[in-house]
Amino acid sequence: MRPVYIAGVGIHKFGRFDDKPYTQMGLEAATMALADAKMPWSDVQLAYCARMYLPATSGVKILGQLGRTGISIVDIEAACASGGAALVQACMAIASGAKDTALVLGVEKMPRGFMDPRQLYEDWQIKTGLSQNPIPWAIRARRHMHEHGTTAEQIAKISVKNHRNSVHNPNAMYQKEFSLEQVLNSPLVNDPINLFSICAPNEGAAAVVLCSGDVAAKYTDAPIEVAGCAHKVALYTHFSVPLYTVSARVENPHVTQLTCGEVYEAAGIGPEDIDVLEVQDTDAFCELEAYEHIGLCPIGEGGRLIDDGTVAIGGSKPVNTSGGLISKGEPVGASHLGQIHEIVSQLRGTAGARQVEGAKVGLAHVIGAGGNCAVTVLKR
Amino acid sequence: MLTANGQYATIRDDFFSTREGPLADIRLAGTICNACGEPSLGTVPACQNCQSPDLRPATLSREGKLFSYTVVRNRPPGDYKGPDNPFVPFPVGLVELPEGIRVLSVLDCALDEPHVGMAMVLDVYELYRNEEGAPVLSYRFRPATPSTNSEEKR
Repeated sequence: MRPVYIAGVGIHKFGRFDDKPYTQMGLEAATMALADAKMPWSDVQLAYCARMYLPATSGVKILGQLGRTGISIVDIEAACASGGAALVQACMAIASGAKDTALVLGVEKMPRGFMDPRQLYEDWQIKTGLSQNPIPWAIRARRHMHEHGTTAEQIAKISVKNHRNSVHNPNAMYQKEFSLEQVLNSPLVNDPINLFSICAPNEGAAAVVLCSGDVAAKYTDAPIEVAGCAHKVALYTHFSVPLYTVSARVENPHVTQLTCGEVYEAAGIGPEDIDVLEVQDTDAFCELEAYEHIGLCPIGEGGRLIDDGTVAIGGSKPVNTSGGLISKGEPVGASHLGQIHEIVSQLRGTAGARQVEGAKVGLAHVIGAGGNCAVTVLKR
Repeated sequence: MLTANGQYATIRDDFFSTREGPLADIRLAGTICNACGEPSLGTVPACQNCQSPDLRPATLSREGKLFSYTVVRNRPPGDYKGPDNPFVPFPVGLVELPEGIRVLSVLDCALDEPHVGMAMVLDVYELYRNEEGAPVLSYRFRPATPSTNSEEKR
């Protein structure tokens, strides 16, 4: 297998754009990524479109506007990991030698509030009221507090950190700081998780242009290497939507641990080598747990990393410099590619006030319904 | 009260040991894998742990312990059939049964009552009436020992 490089990235701000169709948001992100890569659309040999809540052949509808070149354009869905699953497919096509260039687009336009439960749950779960997405995270958070002494304050501090980072990200939906008191006093959604510690489903798009080493020089003098990229589905049993039973007899490694393990091996690195991270913060506890599963600290010690500043900008392992999904919102198909946009900005040194000095290796992580997880490691 | 064939309607028939007789006698049902011993709630085509299709039917215990919990503070989206207009917040938790399975369940108790490790007992109850006016059964768990001093009573 040969190395795969990112030649360009593009993003359409995440937020609410009532009068703007997804075809326009996706087009803007794709056009920006192609311009960034200095690659004409006619050079793109393969395209994937990650989306969950959009109609059939969304990718063709968006990218076809650039002109019909006859290439394969396929929509991909893997819940919160859709963007990562699409990226894996494109990387495999280039790594194998089958293609030299590919464009991966993520786009979403989701309704306000709780997502339509029929996408994820059986009728009986909706009727009984077991169909709220934060329930599994909330139950895990409560158990983590019981077993490891994690506190509501530590969870809330992660939200405070991410909102603080978002102030410098013009692509975030909320660019506003919140105090610890404001977060802790916001309404409970599923105890102990409250409203200001949770991300909102929303709208947006992001795109990545990939190429092989053979053609990279034609497009960019600062390629970013995709050192590892994997998508996996959790082993039995996993705490994720649409959860209804969990084994008390069998405890397999968490899907984030398994996916990171695969990517670390491919990239020849470990968690100690990572300079900057974007991780899934569906809610603030989800991020705390990811510290442990990514290997930034032992299991049970996630709370310490927020207390001692390790995960803040200026700390040794800055997490969610973009403001995370808590600030950006989560347009499901676009979220992982939005993370890639942030990591590429960090590795290029163009992240402005969010910049992590000297960042050379970055990791992006998403996890969601069905136990879908994707992890990408980028190197400059 | 019952459907035309003399059986109760349920939210998912394979979750219940029987659909006849007193509600207090109905238990949760599932399978146990003959290869690895892993239990499931309801029927599954293969063991979710070891993929073996060699499964035997099982009736699950009525008593368990609360593994963890949360509270549903806002009305769940879609066709929710619990108390509505006004919606009544309710606790939800994972109840660990002696067979080695933790079942996600509505908890029939005050919002401030659940705590990790508390003894729980199964309660098969009428969740709602269907279009024919027949009761539709669901399951939930309640504390094995009724509380006396809870402030936030449902």
